[in-house]
Amino acid sequence: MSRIAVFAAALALLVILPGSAQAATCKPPKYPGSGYFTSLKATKVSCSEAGKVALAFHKCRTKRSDTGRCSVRTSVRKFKCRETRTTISTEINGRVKCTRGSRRVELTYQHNT
Amino acid sequence: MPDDSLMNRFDRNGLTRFRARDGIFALLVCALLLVVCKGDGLRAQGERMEPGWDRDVVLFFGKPAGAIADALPFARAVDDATAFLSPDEALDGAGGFERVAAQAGGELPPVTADAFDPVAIGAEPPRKEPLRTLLVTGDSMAQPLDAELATALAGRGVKVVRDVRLGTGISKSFLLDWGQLSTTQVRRSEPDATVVFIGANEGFPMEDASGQEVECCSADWAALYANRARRMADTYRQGGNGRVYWITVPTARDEDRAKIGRVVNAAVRVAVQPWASQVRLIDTVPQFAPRGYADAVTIDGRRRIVRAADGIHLNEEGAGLLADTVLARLGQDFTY
Repeated sequence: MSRIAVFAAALALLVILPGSAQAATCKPPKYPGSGYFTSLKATKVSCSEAGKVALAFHKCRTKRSDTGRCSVRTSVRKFKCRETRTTISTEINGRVKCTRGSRRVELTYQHNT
Repeated sequence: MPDDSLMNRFDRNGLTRFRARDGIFALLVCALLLVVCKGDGLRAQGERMEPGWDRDVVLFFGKPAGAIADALPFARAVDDATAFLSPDEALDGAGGFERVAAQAGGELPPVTADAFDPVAIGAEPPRKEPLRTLLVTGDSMAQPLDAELATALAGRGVKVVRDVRLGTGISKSFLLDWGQLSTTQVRRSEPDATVVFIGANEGFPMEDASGQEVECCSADWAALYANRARRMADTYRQGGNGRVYWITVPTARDEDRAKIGRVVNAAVRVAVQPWASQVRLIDTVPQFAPRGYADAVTIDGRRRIVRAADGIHLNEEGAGLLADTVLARLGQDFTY
């Protein structure tokens, strides 16, 4: 019984730790427009690649208009990106999660409209 | 049919360690540990998802899991224990905006002597103290003012701490809680004086005491904003040991932004009233937009462009002029 408990605890630790252990905070690239990338996090991805994903997402998002969206089906440097937004008349604030298997890039941006 | 899997060889040699039932039991223990230690994370994840069936499913499990994690001390203990692994900036929990709206109101607060600037009532001003540490903070409005002030004070024995948080706002605490940040800033740098220039990214709905979202820019919204700004001003003034120089936002070119800026400025004006002897309001509107938005202002008979191309920020010229105003006001309270 004690062996099972140790096994379970070890397994639980393995599950709990990665969420907080692997995400690295990166310096966001310069925003290519009026606004800012306000945060950038990379999991199992280099910061350099995360920055490229952020810029590629921006390009995809603004393809049609400044307030446009990037479809979740579109490949952004082989990542699939989902976005949630808070919008007011003067700006958009987006929270974006891009995944490619276990690799993950998370970014937030503020875009002046 | 004979069993040719040869699995019984483990039983035969006494090598069996776990049964399938043990595996299921271990998984159940894991699930329980996850709910107790990380249930709030599941809920938070669900709340960030876009509306849809998948969000509903995550929240169906996440909400009760979060409630269990909130009720027990383990989730916080795990967060604390693994905090060193996270590169996120740790802000002080105290002073956050979460409870500001709920704490507003109540009994009538007394007016104190702090509400009166000695100069305004003809009293003797307090002796000037040397300025040792100056914190310059805010959103993008604080740039390039922070650099101008740092340059002006270089070599004068003043440590200038520049902490600009681009894209943030007092009303958008989903990105950064300025109540928490101000507490952290004061704890870390213990500034003699703090220059605050913020307001380019405001206008977001805020929750009132009952949890209802209040849209910009009604009097109710202004009151919520003022309560948050008051919390920050109170933090920066450090119980009367610090001086605060809160700069209002100059009128923006865009009409929607100008409207938000007007309400933000009115709210700040109300917010700092209890501490006129310690919190100075520096109004940029008469200096940079006396008759509404303008790219340029006349100084010493010369037209000078003071606004950035975006119609929101000050350019270097404008920031330089504002720095002169701030330094003059600092000079009334400090020696440097």
